[in-house]
Amino acid sequence: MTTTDDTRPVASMRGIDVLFGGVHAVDNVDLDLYPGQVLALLGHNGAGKSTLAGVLSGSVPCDQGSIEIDGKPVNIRTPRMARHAGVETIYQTLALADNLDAAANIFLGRELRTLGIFRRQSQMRRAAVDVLQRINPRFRNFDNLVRTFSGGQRQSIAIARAVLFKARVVILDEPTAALGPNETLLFKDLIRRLRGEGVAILLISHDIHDVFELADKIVVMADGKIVGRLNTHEVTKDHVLSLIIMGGGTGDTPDRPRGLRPIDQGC
Amino acid sequence: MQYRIVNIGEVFLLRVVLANRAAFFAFVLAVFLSFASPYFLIPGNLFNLLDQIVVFTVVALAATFVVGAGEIDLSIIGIVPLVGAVVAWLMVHWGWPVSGAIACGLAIGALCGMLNAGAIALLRLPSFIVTLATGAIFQGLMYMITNMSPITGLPDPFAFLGQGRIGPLTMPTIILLPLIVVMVVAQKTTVLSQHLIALANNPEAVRVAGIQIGWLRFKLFTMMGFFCGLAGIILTARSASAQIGAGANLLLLVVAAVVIGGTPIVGGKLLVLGTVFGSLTIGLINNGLNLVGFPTTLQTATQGLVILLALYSDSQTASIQNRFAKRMIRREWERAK
Repeated sequence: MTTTDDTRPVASMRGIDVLFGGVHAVDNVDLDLYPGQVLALLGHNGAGKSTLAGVLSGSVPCDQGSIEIDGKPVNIRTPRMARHAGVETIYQTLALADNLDAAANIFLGRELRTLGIFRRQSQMRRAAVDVLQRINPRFRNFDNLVRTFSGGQRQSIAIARAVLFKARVVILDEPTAALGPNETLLFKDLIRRLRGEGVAILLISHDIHDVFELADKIVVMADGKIVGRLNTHEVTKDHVLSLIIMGGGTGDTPDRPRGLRPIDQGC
Repeated sequence: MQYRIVNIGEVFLLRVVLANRAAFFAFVLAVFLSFASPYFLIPGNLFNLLDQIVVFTVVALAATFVVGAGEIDLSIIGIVPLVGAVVAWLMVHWGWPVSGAIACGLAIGALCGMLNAGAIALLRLPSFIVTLATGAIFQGLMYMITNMSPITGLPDPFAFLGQGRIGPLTMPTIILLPLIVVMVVAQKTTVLSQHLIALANNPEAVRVAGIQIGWLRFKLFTMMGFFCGLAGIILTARSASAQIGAGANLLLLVVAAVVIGGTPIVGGKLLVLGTVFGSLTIGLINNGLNLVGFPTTLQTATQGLVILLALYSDSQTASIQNRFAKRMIRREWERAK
């Protein structure tokens, strides 16, 4: 992959505002993502980090603000528009259909078609096998249903979507929450490889150890505002933890799980 | 890790019986009937059997996709007689040509399906509730059209579609066979069938994949309505009249064919060929009950019982496979020692 100018952000969000009823879930936030960099968003539950990521991935409508990808303003109102703009999201639940095979899951919603309705089965399978072997050499049984796969294999499929469709930005929402120790190691390796390909990565995590291991930059949020922008190698875990805890100062913020929001809303 | 299956009986049970349950049922029943009754294997009886299953099989082919997507369409009981009544009305009272009436009937079937999908999307209610209600609405429309009395006196070319023969095959059978091919191909090669499986598995994954769920349901229910319309036309042509009680037991037969065929009632799998064998199983049961002189009054109850058995064996299949897997692992383990 061609390396872009490191000093120019791949994605930049400006003045993002999200309101849930009377609650300012995200309050006038600016965020830049650079190619080949992992940016970690940290904060309490309800600090607004998932909501901010949701704005970029098209699942949360923003009330104000603008998003630019590669310098061009984009309009992201649905997950489809986000994907089209080059933003791929890897959800905590991985968003896989258990009764389809690996290739069908990678291409879900973006199938290669003949005459508009028929699948180009062999072509999709070949592309899927290619990409899966590249990101996870131990991957076997490409034709089995996804329900039979381990957590690590499932994650490989979700990441293969990003690699195959040449995503510019990848959003990872609590990626290691559902993995065992070995799979977490494999996953960290995958993230480093994605970064090596010049992808900008937005990592949302509760695990501060993961964050220190993977992230180049750390952004701490509290009460919908950014309370700290840090370079990982310049700070200590204690410092970051104190920012998270002291952060906005008020402490008590309402927790809004993603599942409770109505779906299919525009921006 | 791969474990070798050594016991041929287990191979048979796992790979043959459980994987093709409906085909196996149909085969066993056919063998049994050929011994139980001297009249079973007569060609006339076999072609008659095929003819008997056509109407509900046409609906069941489409219903396989609906059930496979984790949805259900109960408005079958309304769409089928409504289309039958409209087609008969157009020909008898307005003097429409047969082809025009049929085209109009199919369009109305599809339209009913579109209304179902629209109501599901608009009201944000499960298809179970919506189609329960719309089924009653369609049925009510049919009562209004027929004024509660059958429409008779349909033209001969139309009746030929239901009663005619080409060679040994009846016209309904000839209509059914290409439909089976089309639906099997649709299941195996289209993008739509995979989206429907994904919809049953994980609607959230479908949504974030950028697939419009409302549009997906629209296509699904429109297809279902179209097939219901076709079944209504065949049903009307068979008796050369539009009956107000037509299609009353259709829902039971359709659900039975689909679940005996192995499509789980919660969706996530599409087995069109399974449904065909499910239909055949029902046809064989009814045919056999007739041949051995079983009272006709008990047939419906028998069909209900078969549905329960099929669903029960669905729920048991996983645990049977699990048990076999454990036994194989233990055997492998002992061999290693």
